[in-house]
Amino acid sequence: MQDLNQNMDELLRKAAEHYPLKINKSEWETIAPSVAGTADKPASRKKNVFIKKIISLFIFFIALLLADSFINRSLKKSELRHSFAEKKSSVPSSNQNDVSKRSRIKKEQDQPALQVPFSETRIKNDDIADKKNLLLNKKDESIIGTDYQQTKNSFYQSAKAENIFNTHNSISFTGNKELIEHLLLSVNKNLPVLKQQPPVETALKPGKIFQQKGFYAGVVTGPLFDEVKNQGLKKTGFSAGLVAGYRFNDHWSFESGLLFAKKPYFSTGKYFSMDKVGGSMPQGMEILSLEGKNVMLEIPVKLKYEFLQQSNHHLFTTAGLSSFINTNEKNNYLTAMNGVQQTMISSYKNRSRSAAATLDFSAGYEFKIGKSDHIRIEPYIQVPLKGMGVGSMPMKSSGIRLGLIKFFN
Amino acid sequence: MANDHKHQRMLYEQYRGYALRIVFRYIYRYEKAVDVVNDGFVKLFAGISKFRMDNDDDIEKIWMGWMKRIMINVAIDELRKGNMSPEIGGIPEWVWEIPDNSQDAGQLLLYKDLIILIKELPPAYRAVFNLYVIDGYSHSEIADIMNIAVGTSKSNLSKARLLLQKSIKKMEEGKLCRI
Repeated sequence: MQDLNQNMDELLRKAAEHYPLKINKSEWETIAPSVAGTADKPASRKKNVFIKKIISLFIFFIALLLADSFINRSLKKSELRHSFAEKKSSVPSSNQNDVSKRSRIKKEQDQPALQVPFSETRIKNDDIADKKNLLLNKKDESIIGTDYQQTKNSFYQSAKAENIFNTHNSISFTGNKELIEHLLLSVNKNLPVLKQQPPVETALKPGKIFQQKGFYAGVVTGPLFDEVKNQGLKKTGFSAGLVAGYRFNDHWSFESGLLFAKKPYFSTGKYFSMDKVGGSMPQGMEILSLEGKNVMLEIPVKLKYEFLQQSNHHLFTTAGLSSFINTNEKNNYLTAMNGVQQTMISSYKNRSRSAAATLDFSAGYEFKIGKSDHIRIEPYIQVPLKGMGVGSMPMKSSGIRLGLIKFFN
Repeated sequence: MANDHKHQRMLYEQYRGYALRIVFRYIYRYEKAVDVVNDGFVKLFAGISKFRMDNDDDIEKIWMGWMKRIMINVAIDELRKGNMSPEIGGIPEWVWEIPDNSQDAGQLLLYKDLIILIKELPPAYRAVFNLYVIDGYSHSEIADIMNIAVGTSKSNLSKARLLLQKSIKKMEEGKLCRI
């Protein structure tokens, strides 16, 4: 027996020395930077470093967007104040003289009231406002009409939103809303041109291009990574297809689609259910591990919420469910039977369905590239709710989809 | 020498075939073996100052022994990273060099088949078999390298031998059947 072992060892040593292995072309360029010390990490870790860089870049990108959004908001606030101040001072030119005259008279009338203590001012002004409202109701409503109400409401909304009352001169902004109303009314009362002006709210808020209701559709594609029960990733898959949706309002949309997905995976045998394939395998055969790929049709159904909307870009988040139809599945098994291990390849072309098999979450970014076209960048994760494929394996997917979306008005 | 890229490249070009032959016995997948060889060379060049040339006559032997040790350590690390889990799928034909007529083609094909048999051993058995039989490590060294007990090393070796004997027998029977 020992001789047999020695002979075998000798033979195998010779084999190890002389076996005909193909040596591919040099990969010096790949390792040169690592050797030079520019990247101290071994070559195989480069893939991880690349993924980390992509994630860092994405986080940086999101931070940049948030900063951009914050700056834009600040700018809009200052514009809003400026625009309000302009609006207040620029009364329609056709009646400029009249207005200034009236204002002067009014100021002269009101001046003493403003100098008395607040409570007294309030009482007096309440009286004035009541009288004015009475007059309005009886006489001027027909002249001023609903535009007046709109203007008044818009004025208060804008002013309240921007806290303008605290920032302007003390005469106009004593905190006494009725007094301001009174002043505004006295200025605007007989100025029909005000009716033709756009409401203050519209003029002050920037137009949001994304505020469109209606259908949209587009194409998406991107890499995906599948893993069975946190066992890690080996290969990258991809998905591509069509998406379509309906936007209910400026925040919410419903979206669905049809995607072709190629999902590679590997797993130890313990997560592979033999229920569907047990009949086609010899009795007593055990699957130790498997590596395979699944070609599937994916039908996602999800709700989309948009936020941090700007004129030409916004962020969004989605949540929903995905169903899958298997079209082709190929598995390489490492099996064991009676202590002997062997590999086995199986291909399945059944059209098994897995309805609502994953719970999907994503967050992404969309920006305009044309009148109605948008580019979408959407990282996502799919959490398994049930098993997929012949082995009913719980497959967690993640990836990023890039898309071109067209809105139909 | 550590910073001499030209010489480093020459050494890499010269010995990467030798290194790949060692690593490919331990690592099942060819692509992964190539990565491991590259990692091994990075480590080798990083620690080249530790290499001692005591006797100029045997410098190549010492160099190759040192390189072999590094490559084996990197390969074992790689196996350990994958928890010694078995790989699946066959070895593609393109990884083998087709022997030309001038060589003993039959002998080389036999060597190829034997290496495949070693590669098809479960990783833990394969590593111990390679270390002990082919690369000449002792069981205590193997126990240190692989962080296992000496007894486990011995047991793995005997199981590996048994599996190989069975496989060789099977392979010979298959050849006889074909004849």
